[in-house]
Amino acid sequence: MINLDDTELVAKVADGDERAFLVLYDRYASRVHALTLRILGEPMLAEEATQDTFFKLWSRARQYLAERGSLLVWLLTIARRTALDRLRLEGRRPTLSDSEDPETTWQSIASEDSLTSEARWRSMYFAVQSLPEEQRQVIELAFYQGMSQSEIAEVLGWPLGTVKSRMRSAMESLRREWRKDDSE
Amino acid sequence: MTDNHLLFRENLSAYALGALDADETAALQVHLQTCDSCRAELADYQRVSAGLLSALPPQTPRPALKRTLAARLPSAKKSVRPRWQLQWSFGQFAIATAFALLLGMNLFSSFQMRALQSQQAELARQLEMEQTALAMIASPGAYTLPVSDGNVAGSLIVNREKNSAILILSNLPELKKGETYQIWFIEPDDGRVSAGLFNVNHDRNITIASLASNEALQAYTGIGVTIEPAGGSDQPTGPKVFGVEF
Repeated sequence: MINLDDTELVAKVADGDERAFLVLYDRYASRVHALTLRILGEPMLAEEATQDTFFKLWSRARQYLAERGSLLVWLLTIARRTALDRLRLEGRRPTLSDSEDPETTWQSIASEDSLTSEARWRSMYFAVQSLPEEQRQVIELAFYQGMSQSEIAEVLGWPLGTVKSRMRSAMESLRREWRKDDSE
Repeated sequence: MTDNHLLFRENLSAYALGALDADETAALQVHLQTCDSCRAELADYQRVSAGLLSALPPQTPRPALKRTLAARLPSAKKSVRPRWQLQWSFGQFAIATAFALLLGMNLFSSFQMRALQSQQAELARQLEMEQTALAMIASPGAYTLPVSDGNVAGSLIVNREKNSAILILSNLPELKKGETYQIWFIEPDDGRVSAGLFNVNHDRNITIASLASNEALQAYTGIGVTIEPAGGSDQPTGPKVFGVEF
């Protein structure tokens, strides 16, 4: 069971195989939890969001389409929405999106050809860390706190135009970094 | 390229981060349906977003989380007891315990009361027998016959005028459960007629038993006592304990 790939395991989970489900948990719990902890900040809340994410995997396994992207990205996309919804419930953030709609989940995921090695994605961590502080701030508030540009402008006390330009600059830097990895 | 296209293009990166307001999001989604270059550029930004999802050092959750998760799977739910049994609060548990204790105490008291009533009835019966025995001894027509057989000793008090007799015994062995002493009248032709059952009163040294007869005592030549199954027998079946001739 432990040697099966993600697609095979998800197919088994869709058929109600609990062992396959727990293998996937062992495989990805630390990745999901890292994201929910980053978004929610509190370990207990993060564990609840991690748990909810895996229950969604259990109940929605049939919605996963391997040709649309990797299981990890699908799972992390669900985890991000779950954690951001929890932030909203806690009254800490406005609602972001409808996390129950599977098609919405797929729309925000990059196409299959981009989903290559994880080592590349880890390099993204260092790329974000190397951004100028004001650019890194807007990326973190938008992506890990679910804030819109207007809300970021309000929170940071910056003009909306400044937020937009810093966000574009940050994303362009990260995109270049991604393409550089692509060409290597 | 129109000015609008440039405005939409500027929003692509924010859209990939989910950072546009609702009205901007809706307008861009309409534009994307007809603009190939914006869709291509958006795909690049979405790759960056996907990278951001996993661009965090792994954080292992506590092992308890997996146990919690496993416990909520269908197979675990099938094996757990009904929810109401598991979710008693401390208060509910305390009330239930107190109720069970009260019920137990009531039952115990009830059993004790019945035992006391039974003892009281036995004492009353013994007292009545003793009074009868005393009355018989004191009555003019009564006479006493000795009982002596091994360790058993006592007297048979007979009053032919009143057609009654009483056994007063000491050192009579206590019987096993399911056994009883049975008294027999002995007929002249050696027949036996039951004269009653009795058991040893182990709280006292003396056992008193009254003999019952439908016939005049003159019809019998004596009495005998045997050990019989509880409830008695029609004829003697067990060992003889002692006998007394009139």
